[in-house]
Amino acid sequence: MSTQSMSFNLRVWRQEGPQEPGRLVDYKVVDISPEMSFLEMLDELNVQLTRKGERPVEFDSDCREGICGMCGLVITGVAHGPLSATTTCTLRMRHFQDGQTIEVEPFRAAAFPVLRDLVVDRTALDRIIQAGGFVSQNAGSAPDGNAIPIPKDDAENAMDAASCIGCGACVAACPNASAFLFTSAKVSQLAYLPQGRPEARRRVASMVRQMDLEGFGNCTNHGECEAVCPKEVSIHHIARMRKEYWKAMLG
Amino acid sequence: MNQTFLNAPPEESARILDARIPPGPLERKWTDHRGHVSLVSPANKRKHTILVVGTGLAGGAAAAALGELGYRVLNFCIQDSPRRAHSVAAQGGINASKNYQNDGDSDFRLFYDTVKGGDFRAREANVYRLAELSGAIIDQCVAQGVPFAREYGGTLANRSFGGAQVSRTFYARGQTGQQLLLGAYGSLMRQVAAGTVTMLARREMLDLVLVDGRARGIVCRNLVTGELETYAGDAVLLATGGYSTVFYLSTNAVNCNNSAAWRCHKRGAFFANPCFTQIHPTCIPQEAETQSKLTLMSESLRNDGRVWVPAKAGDHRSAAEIPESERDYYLERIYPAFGNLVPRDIASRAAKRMCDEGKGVGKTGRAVFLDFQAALERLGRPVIAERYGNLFHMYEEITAEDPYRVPMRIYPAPHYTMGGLWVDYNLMTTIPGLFALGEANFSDHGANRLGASALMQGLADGYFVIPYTLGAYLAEWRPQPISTEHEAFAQAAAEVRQGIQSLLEVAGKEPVRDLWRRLGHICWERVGMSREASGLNQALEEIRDLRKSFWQEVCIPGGERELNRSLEMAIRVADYLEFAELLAMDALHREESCGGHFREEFRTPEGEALRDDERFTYVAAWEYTGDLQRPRLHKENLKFEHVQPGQRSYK
Amino acid sequence: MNTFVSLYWSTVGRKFWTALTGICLVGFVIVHLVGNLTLFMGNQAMNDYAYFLETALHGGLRPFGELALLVLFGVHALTALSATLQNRRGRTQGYAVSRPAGGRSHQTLSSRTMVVTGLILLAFLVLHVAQFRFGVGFDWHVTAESAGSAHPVRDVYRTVVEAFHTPLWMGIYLFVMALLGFHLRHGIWSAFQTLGTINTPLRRALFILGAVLAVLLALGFLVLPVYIYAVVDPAGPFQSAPSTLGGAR
Repeated sequence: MSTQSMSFNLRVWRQEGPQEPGRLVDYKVVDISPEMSFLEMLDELNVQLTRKGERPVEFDSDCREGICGMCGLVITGVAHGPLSATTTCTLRMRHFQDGQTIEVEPFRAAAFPVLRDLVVDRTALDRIIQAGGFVSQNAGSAPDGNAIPIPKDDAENAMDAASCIGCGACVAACPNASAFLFTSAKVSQLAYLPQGRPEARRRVASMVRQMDLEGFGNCTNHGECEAVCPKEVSIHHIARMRKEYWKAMLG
Repeated sequence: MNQTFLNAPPEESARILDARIPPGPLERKWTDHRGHVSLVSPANKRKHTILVVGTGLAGGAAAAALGELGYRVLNFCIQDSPRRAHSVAAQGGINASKNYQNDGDSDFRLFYDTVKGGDFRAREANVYRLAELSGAIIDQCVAQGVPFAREYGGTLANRSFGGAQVSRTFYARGQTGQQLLLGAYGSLMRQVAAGTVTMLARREMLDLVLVDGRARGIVCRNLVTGELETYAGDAVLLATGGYSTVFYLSTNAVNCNNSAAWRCHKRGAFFANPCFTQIHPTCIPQEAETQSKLTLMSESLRNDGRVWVPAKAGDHRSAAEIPESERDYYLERIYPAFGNLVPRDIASRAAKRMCDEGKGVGKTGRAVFLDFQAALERLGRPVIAERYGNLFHMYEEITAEDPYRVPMRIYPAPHYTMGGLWVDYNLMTTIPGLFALGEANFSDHGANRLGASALMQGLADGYFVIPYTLGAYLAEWRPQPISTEHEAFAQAAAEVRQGIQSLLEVAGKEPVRDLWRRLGHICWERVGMSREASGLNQALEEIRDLRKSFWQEVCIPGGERELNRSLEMAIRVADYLEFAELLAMDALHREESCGGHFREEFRTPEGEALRDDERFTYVAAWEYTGDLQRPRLHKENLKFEHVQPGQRSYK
Repeated sequence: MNTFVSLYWSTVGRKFWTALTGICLVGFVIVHLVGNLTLFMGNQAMNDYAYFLETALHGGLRPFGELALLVLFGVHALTALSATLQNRRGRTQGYAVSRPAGGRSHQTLSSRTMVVTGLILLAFLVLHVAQFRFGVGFDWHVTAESAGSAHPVRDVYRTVVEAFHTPLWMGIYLFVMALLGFHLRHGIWSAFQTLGTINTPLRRALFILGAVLAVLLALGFLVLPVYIYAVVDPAGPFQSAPSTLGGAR
């Protein structure tokens, strides 16, 4: 166990409800060990707040091992914090300086309304998937798994895209609050696989339309999304989604 | 508080539980049963409302499959999106008896391995059905666009996993659970778009509503507004996962809890084999007291990693300084046939034994080495990186050590619970209309689950079992429509509200997290990897004491009708304080060692688990008899007709 | 339903046109630069080139080209502007602290200022066309046949030389051409990414090549005014007469 103890000056976004105004509130958190994760540091802050009789800071998290996509904070101005290929829950405090001031804000986008403090509503992403992010395949009617051979490279590319955890960091980091990377990851995954081809045109058109209806911004190729993506989903998939889209548009 | 009964033997019911296993030969049971059950006509399906709680592999698959059939489904999840259910975290893979590798696999062999792996405490008929359905799961997932690993020829790749002697595990890098869940999630989203499934996220089920003895609805807390909501339907499907977080530190997600199952138990559903908990051997050791969870690394690591400790106790040199001759590759030494690939329970206990003997490594001494040096020399870094790159990365992120250069340190952690609500062959609990699926039920893994079997069971239950058995239940019963206007709903909601109020009225000082940590500590120390009567008795008393403290000391800032994580957590911990007692009691009553349940008093001279088939070849299903009352034990006798119980030997 | 309009005016659909017109405009800028380079060869060469543009395809090239350019610039600006407005709506409450993540990001000052540089370029374009297309000019009789005829070409060379001896014009051009390079630094690779024509290795190459091309184009346009200011005599000799046709050509 480490004996080293750190302290931080936190500036945390507090907001009581979707309609309430919010603001950054300063907290000092002490007795933090470097191997703690960022969320464990916030847990500790909450324990300290509770003992003082104050309301803990609300934030989302679940698996705490970087796969469920539920956590997500903008830390010192970067979605999921300063370390690349990392979720907020797997970011360790040893990556910060003792005594550092750390700003903690929710993922911000018009399509992600704040519910409370650092908790935002990301159901817009679910609705994008509902618009077509699936293969229409009822249980029970599938052919044998090996009936259609799939080139290894295609399977690998599909897997690259499929590793998206739906955290919404791409939206949070995008200067335009665009959901292109999220949407394209699903479009591209299914475009690489023969199982996805029959519905490819309808899928890309519907998902893009839903994405627009949700009020996300447009993609201007800043590539910030890829830089903050905890699973390093490439903007190559955005290019691929567009290609799929031209096929739907021109074909 | 009445503590007198704690040490007494359990009161036993004379009635033997009937699992309603269909007649006929093992390999025909499911096909025949499926072919003979009553059906709901297509036109009538939309008239039935089904409440599915949970959106993991079992719940998500069930909701999607029932939606596809035309039922009206209300699907609840605790997270903000169904895609986050903890099935997402499963890494290694999913088993199926496809025999694509031509290495001798078959339904029977998968069945046999699972029954043996479960230490002969699983129900044969269920396990055979699971093996039988395993192939269809792979087909379904491939068709959904799950990007399984493939060979250059384009066919599906397999690996050997968790001690299996055939390669039957299908995988998608180290993210198999995620990919299978996203497949089910896609199907679910399709049904949401089609209007058959209504998704209700950020809801936590807090009670079951019974009308005329049948499950007809649930009470939920809306986690955003804090309002209590009631929903009515013709059946309730519980797919709420396991209870590993009773140990506080586990590999489960922080929102995983047992409250829904526990409250169903309090309404009359029997809870089976709670003491069968699985401790996974390859987790990253605990580093700090304030840690919120433990991180699992796929046990596929054991395919190429070698487990060792210093041969001498108290050797605190770094791994590099310990010469080959002073290392003890204890799994290879004790179990030469399976070596590093012995089943989870055996690997976990061996690690604990080594640490207990003072051979543990790392700052805490509660860890063993998992060394890739030999594999790196044999296969080269690129191959190892391709196989385990993401796991190595994860390990380094957490520990700041590079496993390419320094051996990993691993230690067992609570991971999965084989126990759960008792269900019959049709997955129905002892409450008519209440079904339990996936990890929430007890049925298929006996006393120990084999690797890559949890995903299989969740999807089998959801896609391929429940659509038939639920239909049969509805067709035979023909329910009358019901609405939440029925007085039972208001009454259940009032009871839930009362419970929440009493929690909020405790004006203590202790944060819930600290109390939960204390409960976890008791359970881990006394009802964890190894148990003994005196420790279990002590645990029972400590749990009672802690429960008393909890109700005096807990501090819940904020109110009921708002987003309030402290309150959510307090509700779950309050339930765990009740459940933990049952867990310890079940462990105390089962005077044998089997699978994940290891009693110090019952072991072979070599220290291996010693079953008592004579006395304990049964499922222990507990009936709730009231708060602080002794639960009543019901037995379902297990018959082994196709696999002869023997001592599991992996030597 | 996915109607024709919804397909073409979606976020993805709209940017298709921005990118396509952008690439065409880059082509135009290259041709324009090549044409400008005739300036180095003197009065005759440049005006020969102007004469060629005027008379090619029986005089049809110019009106067609002008119309095409109008459409290209119009569509490019319109689609980009409407996308920008949509992007503004994408995040109504901004961050207190926000910084680029670095690493694999393609974000640059250029990418963040596309709409600003674009608007300035548009304003400049108006000015530029007003000056060289519609402004007061001089007639130049390119060939013996055209000498004294009613169809002289405009003495572009003289206009340019005179303009670039005015410090204000000189300053404006230098500034705007630097901005053009800045705009193209993000614009070139981005257009190909938007058209979906590139894979990852190609994208990385194009991200660098685009920057190189942008610098080269900007330099090309920057060299000319500097050359004229420093080398060419502002007093001529010019052989053209004040235009009889005014600026209406």
